[in-house]
Amino acid sequence: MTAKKSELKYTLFFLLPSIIILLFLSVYPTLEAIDLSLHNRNLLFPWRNDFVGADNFIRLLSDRRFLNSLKVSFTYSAANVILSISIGVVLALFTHEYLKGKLKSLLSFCYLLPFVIPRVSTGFMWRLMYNPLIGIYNYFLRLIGIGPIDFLGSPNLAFFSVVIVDVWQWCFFIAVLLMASMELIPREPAEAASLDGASRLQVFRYIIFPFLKPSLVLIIYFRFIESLRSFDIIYNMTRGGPGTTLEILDLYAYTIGISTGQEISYAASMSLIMLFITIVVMSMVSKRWFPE
Amino acid sequence: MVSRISLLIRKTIIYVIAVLILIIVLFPIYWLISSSFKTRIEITSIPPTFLFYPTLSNMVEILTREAYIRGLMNSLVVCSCSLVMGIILGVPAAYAIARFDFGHKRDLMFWFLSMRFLPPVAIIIPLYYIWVRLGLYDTYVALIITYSVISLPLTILLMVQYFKAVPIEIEEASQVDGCSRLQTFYKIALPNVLPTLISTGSLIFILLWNEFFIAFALTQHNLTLPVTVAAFATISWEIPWGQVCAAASFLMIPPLVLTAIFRKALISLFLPTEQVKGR
Repeated sequence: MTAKKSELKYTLFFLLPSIIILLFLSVYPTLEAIDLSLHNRNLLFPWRNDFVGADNFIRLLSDRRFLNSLKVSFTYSAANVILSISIGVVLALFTHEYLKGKLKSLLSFCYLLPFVIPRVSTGFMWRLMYNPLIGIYNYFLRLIGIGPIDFLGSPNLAFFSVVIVDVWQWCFFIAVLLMASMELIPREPAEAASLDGASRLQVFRYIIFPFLKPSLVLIIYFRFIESLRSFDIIYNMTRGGPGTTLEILDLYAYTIGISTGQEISYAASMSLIMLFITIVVMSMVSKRWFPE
Repeated sequence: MVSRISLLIRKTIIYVIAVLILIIVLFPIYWLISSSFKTRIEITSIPPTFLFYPTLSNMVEILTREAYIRGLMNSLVVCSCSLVMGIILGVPAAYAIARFDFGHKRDLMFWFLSMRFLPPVAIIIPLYYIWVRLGLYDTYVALIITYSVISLPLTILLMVQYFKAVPIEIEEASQVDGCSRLQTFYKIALPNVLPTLISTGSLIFILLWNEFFIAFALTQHNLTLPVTVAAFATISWEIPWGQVCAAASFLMIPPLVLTAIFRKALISLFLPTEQVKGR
């Protein structure tokens, strides 16, 4: 009895500080955001504090800039997931199947580098290379008679130019993760299948792919949630422009709530929408991460 | 004979692809770093300068600028304080989850995990409001505490697995020898996980060091280094490329160095442990 009591004491002593801090950083802000979203608070007009019910959410539905930002967030993330994961799979297969020894470990080390460098640095790195006047891509394009192309300035190109940067930053790391899973695949089934005359594609489809599927599904979900928060790269490359072609939800909420507008209540209602979307995706993940 | 030639061709193709991949990975990084050692004329020249006599003037210019040094100091203070806080609070919590007997562990772990995927905007907007009201907006305290939303859950999630990997027999033996649970924790379990604690800490430091959005939204004068660098180049066309490249290159040093040392552990941050344990 006393032993159990002392264990409870230790458990609380060890766990409570973390739980309190994290409650303060997750549950409390969420409650605060809900409270904010039901009022019309504005930091420029601090005396304004009326209960407005669902007005902010109704306003969101007719705010074309918000709907656009939602669309941009999703198309940006979808493009990112599709490109970075398909390229990552190909890279992982190539590196795992065709390379050996030192070359393989050199490549798998280099694959980590784009992922760990600060995204502010990545942004400037690519802005320098994309530059229409002094950028190296335009130099090569000019050599073959094209250009100059304003990769980040033209509305049609800017979206994909930034997506490419994000894909560059992630696809190699995804390849590393997939290679870690591939290491665990037993060699024998694939060898037996090729002896029986299965093509490489069939071996991949029926033997390697089923092994990869669990980690692949997790990577897809996490990559999706992760790319919804590409504020850093987008802000540092184009500030969401040209126009609103790259204005993701985070950027719009930041602009209206913190940087210029100070319409904190309206921004909070946007952030709640984002939270809701993430929770939906997370609840799908939870079944896979902690299977019963 | 024919098969030997086709084998050679195959090998050559594989090598060519490998080199192409390496160029795609490394060239942008190389280009940024090399541009930071070029003069202004060399950076803006067409055709681009590949061979040049490196100049340190950009680096010197950056490292003598007060704003940059301030950003560097702010980043060092904020990141290390938040890291230490994450470890001091998170490691005991992880030990409790790994070893103590209580209910709802699974829910608790999932809650910690969900913290990693909380959209930053969902907490930044209300936290901005909270910090402004508390009068702590634009202070170290606000940023350090907010950063625990990154450092604390990660410390706990990773350290739980490492504590579980310590053989339970040696801990039981120490308790038979009369150690309290607290003593068992810091005399037996903690030394056993110290190497993994160091690699975990280094990786969390990278994440904090690279973080942009939270620092950007919660500061005005006490900028961290990434925010300082971002502020160097406004959207205008007149970007001082040499200095921007030098600043952005300098910013990359800690993550690159730490990655070179702790590359294996980096993967474990993102994959379920059962998969990494096999390696």
